[in-house]
Amino acid sequence: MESKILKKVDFILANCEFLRASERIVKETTLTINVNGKHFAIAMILATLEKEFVIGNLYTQGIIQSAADITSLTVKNNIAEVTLSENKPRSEKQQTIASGLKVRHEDVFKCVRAILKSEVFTETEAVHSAGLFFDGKDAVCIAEDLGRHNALDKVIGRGFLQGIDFSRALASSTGRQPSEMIYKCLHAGIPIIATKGVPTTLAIEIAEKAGITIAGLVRGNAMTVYSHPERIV
Amino acid sequence: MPSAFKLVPCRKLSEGHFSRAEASVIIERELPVYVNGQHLFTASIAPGMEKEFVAGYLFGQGFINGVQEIHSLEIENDGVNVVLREKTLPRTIKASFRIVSGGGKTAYFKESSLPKIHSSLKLNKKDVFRAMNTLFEKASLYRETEGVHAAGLFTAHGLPLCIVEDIGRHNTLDKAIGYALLNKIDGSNVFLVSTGRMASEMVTKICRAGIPLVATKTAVTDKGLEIGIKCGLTIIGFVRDAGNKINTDMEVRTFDKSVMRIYSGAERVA
Repeated sequence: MESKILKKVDFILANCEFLRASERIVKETTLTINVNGKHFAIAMILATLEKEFVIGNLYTQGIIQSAADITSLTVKNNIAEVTLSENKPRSEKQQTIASGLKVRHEDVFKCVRAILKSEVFTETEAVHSAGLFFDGKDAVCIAEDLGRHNALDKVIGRGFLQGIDFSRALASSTGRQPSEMIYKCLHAGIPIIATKGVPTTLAIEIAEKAGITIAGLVRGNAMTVYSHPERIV
Repeated sequence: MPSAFKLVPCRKLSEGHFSRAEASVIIERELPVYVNGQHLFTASIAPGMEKEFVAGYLFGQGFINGVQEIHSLEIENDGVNVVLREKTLPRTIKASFRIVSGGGKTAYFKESSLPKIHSSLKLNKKDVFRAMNTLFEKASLYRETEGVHAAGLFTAHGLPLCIVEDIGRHNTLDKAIGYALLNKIDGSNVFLVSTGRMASEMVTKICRAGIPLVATKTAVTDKGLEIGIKCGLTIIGFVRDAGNKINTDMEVRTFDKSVMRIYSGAERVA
């Protein structure tokens, strides 16, 4: 069967000479999301964990808040149909995160290393990974996508479907952390995000205000904590 | 040029202990964009080249088909005001927005309406390596903060016309293409180098600008390649010159051989 996420292509390898070669590259899938029969969005994603992606995206955008808000969700032929409960309360986006979660720095390294073992990345060098870890220890989900935002939506979606307490979750990412990534953590209620990359100024400002810990440049045995360092011991 | 990064207090872990330190962090700012008085979107970008960014974005997303459609483009009160010659908003402005892999949303764009690229540009492999090395040399933010993408627009002779760094790979392309548009540079006679992956919406922007060749230090996706082939774009990936360094999982890797992969339009490369 043809892979949903990889496609074989021919190319010319140019070093000293020009040689014909072939390899597998990542596939982009166009996923259409309809909510209550109305067009909501089109997402370009890596076709794994599609349901989780849809749920995570709706949750981090404040469209849904609990499992009871969803009546049904189907993904077929790259179209996701979501039906929301009629008496769904109006969502209020979270403003700050109250969490007593503390994680040992040794565990932060483990949570970042755990998402770096992606086979798709090893083959294509073209995907980002994200992970969600309960208490900074137990993996709830590890996901890959073309974009780091989508990968984060997928793991948050899985956490949502499992009904985990997000105030005890650590998210890890392979990518840079601009404001939008921190907003996703905020709206999901995740107190710690650890990344191999770096945050932006705006991301740090939002995290500082909202009570989110950002650990960046988590590489080798070094890391830099940009906000709320009290959670990493 | 506004400063692109600032020093912030942080804690650094080394040898198992945290200590107070400072880190240089790339500045991200929110830029609201108004078209004909209506709020179109708010972008998250690195400071600098705001006008180029907006012109490149509007063009790349299909809101306009050329700078001649812009009556005025002014930076006012931390935002950008654009007045188009056509006073009614183009139909595409109300188009469906889509979530893209680089984060954020773009307006939906049909590939079938993209023009075929006409260009007689030819390059030597060496020009491509040299342009990529120039990009890395000039990308001082990248070295300072490790938090940016970079793109460069080069003449057919490999001279840099504009080098851009930004928090998003899309933003770097929008700024570089906007620069070409505002300076009336003929797209068919230049080429682009980038640090970002060539996913469909990146390739779409390049094809719309009529630029015949793009080289990236990383990968291309299947849809990016399909669009590139359809439009006649030369896509070169994994451009790695001997001595180039990249951050892999937990370490830095140095390449000992010069190599690149030509995915489409190989006839332009000698």
